Amino acid sequence: MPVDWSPLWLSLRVASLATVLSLVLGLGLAWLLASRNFGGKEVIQAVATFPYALPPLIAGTYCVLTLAHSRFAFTWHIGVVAGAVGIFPLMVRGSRRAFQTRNLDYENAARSLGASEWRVFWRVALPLAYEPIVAAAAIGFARVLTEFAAVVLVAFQLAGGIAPFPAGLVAVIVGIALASVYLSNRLEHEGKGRV
Amino acid sequence: MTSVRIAKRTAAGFTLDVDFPIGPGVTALHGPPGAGKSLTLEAIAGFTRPDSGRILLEDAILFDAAAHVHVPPRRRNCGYLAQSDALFPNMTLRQNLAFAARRWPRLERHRRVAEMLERFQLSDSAAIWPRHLDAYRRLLGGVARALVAEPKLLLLDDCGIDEGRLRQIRGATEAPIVMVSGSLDLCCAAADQMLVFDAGRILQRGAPRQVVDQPRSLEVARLLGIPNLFQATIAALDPGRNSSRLEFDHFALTGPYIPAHFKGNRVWVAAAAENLRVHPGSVAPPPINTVPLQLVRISHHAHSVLLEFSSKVVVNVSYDEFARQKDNKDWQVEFPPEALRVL
Repeated sequence: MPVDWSPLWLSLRVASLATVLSLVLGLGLAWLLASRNFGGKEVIQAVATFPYALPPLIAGTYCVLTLAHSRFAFTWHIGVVAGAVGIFPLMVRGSRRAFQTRNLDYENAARSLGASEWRVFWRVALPLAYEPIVAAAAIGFARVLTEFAAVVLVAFQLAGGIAPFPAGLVAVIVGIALASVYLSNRLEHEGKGRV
Repeated sequence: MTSVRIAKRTAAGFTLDVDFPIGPGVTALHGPPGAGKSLTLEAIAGFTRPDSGRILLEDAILFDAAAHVHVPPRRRNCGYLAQSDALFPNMTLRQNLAFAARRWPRLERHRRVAEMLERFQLSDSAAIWPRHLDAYRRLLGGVARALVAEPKLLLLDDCGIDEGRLRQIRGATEAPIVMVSGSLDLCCAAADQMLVFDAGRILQRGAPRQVVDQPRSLEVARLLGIPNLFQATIAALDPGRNSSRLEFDHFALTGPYIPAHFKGNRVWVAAAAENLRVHPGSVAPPPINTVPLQLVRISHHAHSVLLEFSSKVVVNVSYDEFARQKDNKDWQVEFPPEALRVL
């Protein structure tokens, strides 16, 4: 009986988009938290970390209910939003730590050479801190992938869409998640070695 | 006119309060670690904002607390070389220089980068990543990158530059240079003006030779590493002969006349180790201001020998002089009156 690979493609699409969305937002917030001093900074950090304390089921249900009346209601797009919210704390914490431990001399040198803050971020700060950031993104990707795949497989089973249980499909998803975690560990190790 | 007048209190409780002009040539900031030298450079570069004061660069206001002016670092046109190696590790040497030359069109940028690499003999290293360059070439690369942006003021924060490289930099730019250096030799050899820093204040300012020869206070003398610092009582003052008689704990000397002091006053007297002379104990008649002392320790340095005598007197002599006198049974130390500085 041919294996239906559609849950894999759907999970990969959701995990990739959720990771990119979370990474973009998380990087911006992490840079702000690491390089600026302002009132309410700790409160913002606590709010950004809060999804980490929520069970994925609660976070997912909240997203479904919030977007129930939008045009994305009950589509895979909600999975992207829920996934992005779920791994947002990972991105913020990983990126913030990377930015906080950076050598400010590089950025100051860039500023003295006439670089704007935007250019300092893109050309100097981000390339020097990319390892912990990509490591956080890889872990986040693995988490969204496995969570969403589990939801999809259970839903398909309940709806009678996939029978019997697709062991090969599960093995591929677990393999991709494992590879992501391995990449994450490797990058973190290399980053520490360089420091 | 280029000048700095700033005050800043840091979160750690350190207070910086300095006021000095920056003339053409090299201004050296000398002092112990934590004296506020680097903080001063960071304030000039715009990386840290002083609490009060004003910074002018060629009459342009870079910072004015009263007028709430704080020009961002990128608009100050101050080249800055940090203590640590600051070549961007994610760019090759050529890319590092091109980063600094971005404001010029592509062809002009290419020409300027190539010219600067050539000037510092770095052309063969242009395509190499900083981690594969030795420390000396990385330093040269940092200097070349700072100069390619054509700064109006160059700030060097104890980056390990030597006299030869400083001469090379002065050949490449007419911009004034403010340099933090812990090396008194480098300050004397290459600086036009020297500022002695301690605890966030400037203790003395002037030509390096003048500062070294005429320290204004005991603190400056200590910071400059003058080993012979003694407390003395003024036993006699003779303005007619322009002399004084100074009584130390274990000996008495004739010194220069000390204005604004009275007989019986206690003063500190400094004598640079290289300005004192040694003689064998048997020499007769002994020169003026000669004191018989016991040799305690001999330290061989790269270009001289340091002789430590009893009463904590230290004399620096050349290897030739030491070779002539090393067999002395007894020693006498001569304190030429012109070598004595009353603080």
